[in-house]
Amino acid sequence: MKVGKVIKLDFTYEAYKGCRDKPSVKLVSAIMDSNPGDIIEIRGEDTVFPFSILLETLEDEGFTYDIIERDDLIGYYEVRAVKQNGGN
Amino acid sequence: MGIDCSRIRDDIPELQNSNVVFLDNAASTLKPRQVIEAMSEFAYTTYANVHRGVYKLSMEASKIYEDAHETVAKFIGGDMREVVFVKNTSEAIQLIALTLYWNGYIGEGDEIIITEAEHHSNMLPWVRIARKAKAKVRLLPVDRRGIPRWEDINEYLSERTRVIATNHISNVTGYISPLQEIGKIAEEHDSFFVVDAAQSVPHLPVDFKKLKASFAAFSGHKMLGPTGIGVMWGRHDLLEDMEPPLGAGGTVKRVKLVDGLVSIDWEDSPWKYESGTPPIIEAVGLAKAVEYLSRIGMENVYEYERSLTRDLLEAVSALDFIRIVGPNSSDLRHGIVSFNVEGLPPDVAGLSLSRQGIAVRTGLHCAHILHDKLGFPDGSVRASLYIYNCREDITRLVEALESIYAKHVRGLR
Repeated sequence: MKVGKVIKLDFTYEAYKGCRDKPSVKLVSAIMDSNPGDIIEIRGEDTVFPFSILLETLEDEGFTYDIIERDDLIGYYEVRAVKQNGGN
Repeated sequence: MGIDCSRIRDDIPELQNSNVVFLDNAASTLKPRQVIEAMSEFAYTTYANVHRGVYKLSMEASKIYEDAHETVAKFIGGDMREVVFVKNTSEAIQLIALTLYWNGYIGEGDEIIITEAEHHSNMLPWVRIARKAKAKVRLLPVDRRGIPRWEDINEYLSERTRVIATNHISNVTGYISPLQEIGKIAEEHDSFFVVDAAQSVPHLPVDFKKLKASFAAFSGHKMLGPTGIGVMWGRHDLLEDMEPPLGAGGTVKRVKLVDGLVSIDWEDSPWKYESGTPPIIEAVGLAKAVEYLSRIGMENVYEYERSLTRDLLEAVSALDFIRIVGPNSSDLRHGIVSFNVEGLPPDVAGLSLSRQGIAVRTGLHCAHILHDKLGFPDGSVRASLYIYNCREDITRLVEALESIYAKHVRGLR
């Protein structure tokens, strides 16, 4: 599969300030905007966007992913997801 | 007569062949096919600009547009001269604030009372006008339930109080304000009484004159009608006496040069407040929505939603991981239950619900001060009802909340 564009998402507390700037909206927009081969790189915190919900959403939407970093203690993560063919 | 929600659902195209539970009605409601078809039919056959054409299409369109004012006026106990079509509630309240300022009713040292529970649409216009006029906004605090402390209003009233502005129903807590009493207070203090009725007119019978309101505002799209049209309602004597702040095409009878100066002879109300080409197709849709609701009967709408609200509040409150925003008694609320899911940011809870086919609103709902005051600085999840919601929708919401919490919060502990 051809490597496509890379979308970077920041779900850390500092990254979100505005009313319309919701992590869930950013994620759904990135997913809708992705074609097979496109990559979404996400760094974030559980308190902003829980890790388990992120992984579940990516799986359901037809992404495979690598967990680049995960710190359960502070709830920090970095994930690299690749859009495959198909998904919900 | 009760409401058969499944029959109403049959009229909503977006609910056909769809499993969605739509609980975002305080933001905007879905549209019945009768409204969509009326607008479409008008656009196909009768559309033209209104009031200035003498050709048949324009005459017909003008008649339909004026009749739409009449239909809306009857719905809220006014006459058509009191119904000004604008874009939405936000624009209506800004027009009210501007009109009062423009006509000298808000000036230096004057005071405007609003509550901490206001939507920004009924807060920012007053704050901005007050700054411009060197007047003062006095913010009536809310209690820990988010209910404005109307019992303390005397501490906020003064001989300089010019305006008391409040929502009828809070868009966050669903709290129903005691407008009869507030209207009486405003009258006794010779103040303008302005009502943000965005969350009430779609859901219960409202008669602004009986409430002693001076001005009021609501939106078409929250009551089965289209976006792009809302209503600024104003008592006729006030509208007639005042000069519109937005003078443009359609607002004047005649403009002349008198001794080298431009002289303006204003139209009668409501036309002098509707500047430029108005929302004509949208007016057709709004009138049809009003007819639809009138056929059901607003008492029936109110009673049905009241019992749904009670069930929703009870069902959601019973979940031990839910924190409710606002009063616990359903007698104090109508149609709206906002809450937080322990351990989940509101927008993520909203996304998780969406993935189970449930549409809710998340965030601060344009009421930042209220959320901060009640200890919800990151906002809340808001479920809001309308006549096409059935009890199954509440069941599905509760099941979805239980499953999301079990999987993503409780499961991790």
